[in-house]
Amino acid sequence: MSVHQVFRLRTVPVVAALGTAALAAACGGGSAGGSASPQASETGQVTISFVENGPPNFYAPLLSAFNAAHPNIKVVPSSIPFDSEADIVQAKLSQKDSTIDAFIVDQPRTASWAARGYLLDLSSLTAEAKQNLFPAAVQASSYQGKLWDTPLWESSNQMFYNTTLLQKAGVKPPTDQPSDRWTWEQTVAAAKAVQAKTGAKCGLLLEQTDRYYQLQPLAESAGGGPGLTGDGNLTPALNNPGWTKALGFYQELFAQGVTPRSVSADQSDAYFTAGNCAFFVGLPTVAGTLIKNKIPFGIAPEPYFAGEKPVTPNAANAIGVSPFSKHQAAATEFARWASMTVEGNLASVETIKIPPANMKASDPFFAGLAKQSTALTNLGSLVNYELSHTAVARPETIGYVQFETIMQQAFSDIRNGTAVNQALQNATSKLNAAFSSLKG
Amino acid sequence: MATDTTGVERAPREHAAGRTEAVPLRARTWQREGLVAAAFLAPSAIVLLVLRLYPTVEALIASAQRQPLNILAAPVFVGLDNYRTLLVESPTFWPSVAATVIFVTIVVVAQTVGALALGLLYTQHMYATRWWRALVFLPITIPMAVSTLVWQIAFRNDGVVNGFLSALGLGQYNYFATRGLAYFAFLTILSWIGLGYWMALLIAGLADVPTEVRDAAKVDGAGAIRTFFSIVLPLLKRPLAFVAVALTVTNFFTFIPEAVITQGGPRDATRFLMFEIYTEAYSNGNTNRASAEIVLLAIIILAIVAVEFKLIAPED
Repeated sequence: MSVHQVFRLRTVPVVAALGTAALAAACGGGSAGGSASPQASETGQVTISFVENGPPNFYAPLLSAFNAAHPNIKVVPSSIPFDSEADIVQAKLSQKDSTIDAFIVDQPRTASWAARGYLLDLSSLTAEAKQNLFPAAVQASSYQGKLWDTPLWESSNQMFYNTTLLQKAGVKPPTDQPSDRWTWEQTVAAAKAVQAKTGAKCGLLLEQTDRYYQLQPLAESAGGGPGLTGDGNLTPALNNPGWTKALGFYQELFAQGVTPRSVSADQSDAYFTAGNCAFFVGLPTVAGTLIKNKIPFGIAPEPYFAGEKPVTPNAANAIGVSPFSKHQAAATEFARWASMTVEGNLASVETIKIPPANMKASDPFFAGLAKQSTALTNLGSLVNYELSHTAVARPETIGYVQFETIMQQAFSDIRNGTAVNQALQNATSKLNAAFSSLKG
Repeated sequence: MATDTTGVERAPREHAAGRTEAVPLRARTWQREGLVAAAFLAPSAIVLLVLRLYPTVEALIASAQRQPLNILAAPVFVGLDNYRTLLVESPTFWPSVAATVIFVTIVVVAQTVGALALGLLYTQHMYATRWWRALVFLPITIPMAVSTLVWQIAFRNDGVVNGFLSALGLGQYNYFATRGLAYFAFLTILSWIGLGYWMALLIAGLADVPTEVRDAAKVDGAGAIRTFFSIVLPLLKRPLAFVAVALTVTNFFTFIPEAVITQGGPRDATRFLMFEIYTEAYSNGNTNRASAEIVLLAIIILAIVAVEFKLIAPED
């Protein structure tokens, strides 16, 4: 039995249970109107499918604004959980499935998907992208000198703290100035003090549990590098003191009860915004819920290891267009409008408080946030500082999807107590096997 | 009649006529029956051809090819190279086979014994037996992914399972951090879902054990335990063999719990073959190597089922 037939039967219930049942229906709806020829201009009402990985209605403001501005193009979203999206999109596109028109691309996957032929070349938009978007965002969406997807956001992590818990514990909070940046050691000591004095369940929570996005800055701050090296970044470089130190620190957070083991990446925002945690390191998206829940909070720069350099993560979601779409023109227009117009890009961050990739959308975005909470007054300047001084890109490689998957398993094992060196050795061995077919 | 020329002539004519008419009639009947049989068989044959034979051939062909990185390029014939890579070089294939065999062995033994115990319990004269049976059977009607998600929440560190154990003073556990606890959690989930089904099959087998034989054993002074091991169990060999074989095949295809909960962890303990194939196909994007794994999986299952039949199936 072929791979696709086996998993068509067996993954469908999983996918459905994870809230993706709408995918087939929505994708199936993509054939209304339009021309079969990708290059032909489309007339009349065109319906395109958009596969995304956010919570329900995450992209609703963007779709609503786009549909209002483009009455002849209807975008139908299909939401897939973040951890499953890459596999599902890959599975469909590897079969040259024409039912997906546009889809969310995590920017580090750009090289991998472009090399496999899953992305339509959007180089015709390069000039407009360079004119409107932050250079780092354009770079993260490019591979071999071509633009493959259109950046929506500029991600950057900050440290949020629960003012009430810190006050109860008598812990002086950090400031929001990069010059006063705390170390990880300082943060853990403060987190433990808060737990001891308030009985808080959690001292410090890293938003994206077990994900490379969250843990790369720790390894890079400890001098471990990105974990990949060599030609095409297809050689693992994990067995070094930096990675060992960073992941030893990660393991200890859970072993010492500073971070609870049972909070997954999908649950972390809700856990912090429910008031359970003293410190939280993650995207500014959490600010929206903190404001809504009326939890007093403050922000500070992401910590670093004492004696080492500060490092923060970068790169976020972009929109790609399927080369197998029958509505490439409409899908490309959707991707362009969401990224390169101020109106579209601001709509994309209406429900998620994440810095926009569009330079002209940046100031209105941060000004809007500052109006909502005094704690966010300096968020714009802090994010801009991090993007220009401490942000590191994830490694550009055609093996990124395999790398991310294998590293996530290693991080999970380390979190659950596997010896750091053993887990890294195991990951190295798997990466070498996975990359062997990409090197040829 | 022999002197009756008319009769003599008529008989052969009738005979001849009968023969000349009977042959086409039989042929027509045969043809008609053949067509009816073909019409009845056609759906199954088509299903067999489309859903079994074609995919098998496709998997065999794909397993002998290598798709270049860009999916628009034509696949290259590589012979047995994918099999060689899996059997000799892959750091995950053999550990995955080992994990699958260990887990399937545990599940088959535990669920067969559990289903038999429940079957024996619910064939006793007790209050509301049918309701109890229905209650045990009910979870199989719930989609497996839903049951898995519910149990995942129950097995969380702060879930109801730990809450219950804590209340009994038995401590709290991180169920998906070690191989033993992860297998325990998976066994619980799969048993909760499927035990009722296997129980129903064994109840049917238990109902077929003649009452006279049990009575005769009783008259001969055999107690309940002796009757079970000497009378009931030997007569249950056929349904037990079916349950064991079906459980083996079913559990070799276990996929949802590890895909939803553990993603193959901890330390690859739940990286069962189906998840290994899924990862190779959709995370690594190597459908050719995944096809080779599917062929190997089929061979492994066939070999194990053949051994099981040899060991436990009745000789007749």
